[in-house]
Amino acid sequence: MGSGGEATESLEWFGLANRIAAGTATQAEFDELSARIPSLVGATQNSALWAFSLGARPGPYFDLAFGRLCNWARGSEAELCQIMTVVSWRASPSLTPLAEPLARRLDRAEAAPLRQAAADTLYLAARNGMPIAPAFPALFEMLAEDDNRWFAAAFALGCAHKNGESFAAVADDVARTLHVRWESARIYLDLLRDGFSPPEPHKAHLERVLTHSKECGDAARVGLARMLENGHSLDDIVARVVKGMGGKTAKLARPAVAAAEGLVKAGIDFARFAPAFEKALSHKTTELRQRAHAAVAELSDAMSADERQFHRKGAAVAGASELAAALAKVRPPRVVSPRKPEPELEPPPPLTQARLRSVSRDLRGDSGPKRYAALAQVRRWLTHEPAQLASVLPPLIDALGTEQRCEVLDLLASHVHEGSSLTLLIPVVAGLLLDRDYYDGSTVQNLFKLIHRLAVTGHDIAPVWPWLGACMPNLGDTKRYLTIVEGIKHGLDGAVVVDYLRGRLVPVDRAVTRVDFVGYSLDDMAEAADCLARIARQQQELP
Amino acid sequence: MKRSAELKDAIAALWSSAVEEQLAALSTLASLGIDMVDLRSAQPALTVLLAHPVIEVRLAALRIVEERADMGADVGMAVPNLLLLQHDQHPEIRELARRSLADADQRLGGVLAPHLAPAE
Repeated sequence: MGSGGEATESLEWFGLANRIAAGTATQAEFDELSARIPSLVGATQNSALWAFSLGARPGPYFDLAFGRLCNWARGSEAELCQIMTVVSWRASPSLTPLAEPLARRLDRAEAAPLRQAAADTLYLAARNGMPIAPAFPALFEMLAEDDNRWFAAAFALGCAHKNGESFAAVADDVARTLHVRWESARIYLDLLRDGFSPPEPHKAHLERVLTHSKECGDAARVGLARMLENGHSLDDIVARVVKGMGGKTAKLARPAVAAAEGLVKAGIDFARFAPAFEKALSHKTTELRQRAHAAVAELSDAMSADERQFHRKGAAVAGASELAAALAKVRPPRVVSPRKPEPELEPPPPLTQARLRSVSRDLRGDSGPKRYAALAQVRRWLTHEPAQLASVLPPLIDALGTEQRCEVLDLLASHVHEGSSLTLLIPVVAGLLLDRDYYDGSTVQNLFKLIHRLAVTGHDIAPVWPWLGACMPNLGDTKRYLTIVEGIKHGLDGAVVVDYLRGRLVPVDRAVTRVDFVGYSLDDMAEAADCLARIARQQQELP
Repeated sequence: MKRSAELKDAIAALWSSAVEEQLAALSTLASLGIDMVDLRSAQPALTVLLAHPVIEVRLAALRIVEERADMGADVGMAVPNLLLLQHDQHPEIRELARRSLADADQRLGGVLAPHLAPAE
């Protein structure tokens, strides 16, 4: 165990957190807590932040908490990180006004680390469902810089879009960043789907991404089609594209061919590009000829037979023989053969003594493939008849001492059920938390899967409990937290896992960690903090 | 690694319901251990036998575990049952359990220290 003093101090913070959650802490206590936070570090600071974050929900401490958050938003990078932690844990619409002071920190005049921290904070807020509309203009401004460092700004906008926030008020910003990130393209496409009519200044932005693939190209085609419907002229774009298709080299002409394809899809008459396509189809380079053939075939497929015939005749009359030939080719429709239904599994043969002996021999044998086959056989038996677990338990326990430990743990986790007699198994499982043979990430994950399953199916996990934190503290943590919650519910003393949980409250180094992993780490901390709060409650209730 | 048929048979016999067969299997394992045979695959069954109601079985299983721990093998799997054996009614079992735990604790970096009973 670690130092008792630190563990006690940690539980004191969580005791205060519980009182804040219940609304029984005084305003002075809350104020003192929030004033102390910047002077704390590491796990202690995060323990205090957990308590503070409970006050940042609508309730008696909200005004104090919000005022403090606004102060931090004007402060240093460390203070912005404090906000990041709080909004990750307690993002809610009531904290939306915080987006405004955070957006001010995105300004070009600010230092890069501060801008980064503010963008990260807004992303994590949006990721957890907080509306961040007041920060949209500043986020798009940052996005328009087209700098890879600010990808968190794009992530934030993407999350806000997924959350269903409206971007109608910032449509111009969306349009001017279409070429930067696909998030803008998706937002623009959604605006178009909702009936948005692009104004004339958007034409240049749409033209710029006309040759892009996926969302950006779609946004351009749909946007330009909408402009055509609304009576805007695209003649200037058509003229530039036709000119481009006559480029001397494939490198020059290829984007224009793609743009022509996009424009025809947007609703421009194919005939306007016929001479240019003829040129491209007879270009000196194979590359451009192939690209032009692909574009004509694609457009031809989308035409009705009459339309195709009309354009083919037009091309023939105009002497465009290559184009006429290309339009004459009709590709057969793609036939998708239906997938064969999966054969139904036959029920396994009944578990006789002879079969059990054979499977036990294989499970205890030296041959890995035979052990795998035996495990598959046992899995089938148990799926069919779960009560057979008792009879196959001894060879399965023996197989825990082999290289197939990971698979055995997985099998047990899937088939342990309420009422199964596992008195032999549980001490061995407890021992596996301290055993270092056949020890890897998947084994640890499956081990905690089994322990959690044992806990939820009502088995006594007391022998396992003291060692929950002893085994690889960064693997299988989610199942471990769930097991801790179950254990506390069943009256096991949480004090033995406090050190492990406290160790999980250490923040990751943001300088070397991607922002989404920072988010995962904060989610993980929230689970550990929740367990600590439960333990603090349990300790208060203990006589 | 290929294990001998003797070892595999002994592991299977550890699960027998007859105490004599279990003791015979434990005796086989003990002699295999002296011959430096790797007994890792027997560790789960040995762990289970540490909680056996018959003293002789517990003692024989514990002797093998203690021998392995003394030679520096990983006996972590047996630790929860060894901790219980620190309070066994049989003094030799208590002593062997304590010695095994001391070896295991060295290997585990001291995590067992708060759980170890004081020497008698």
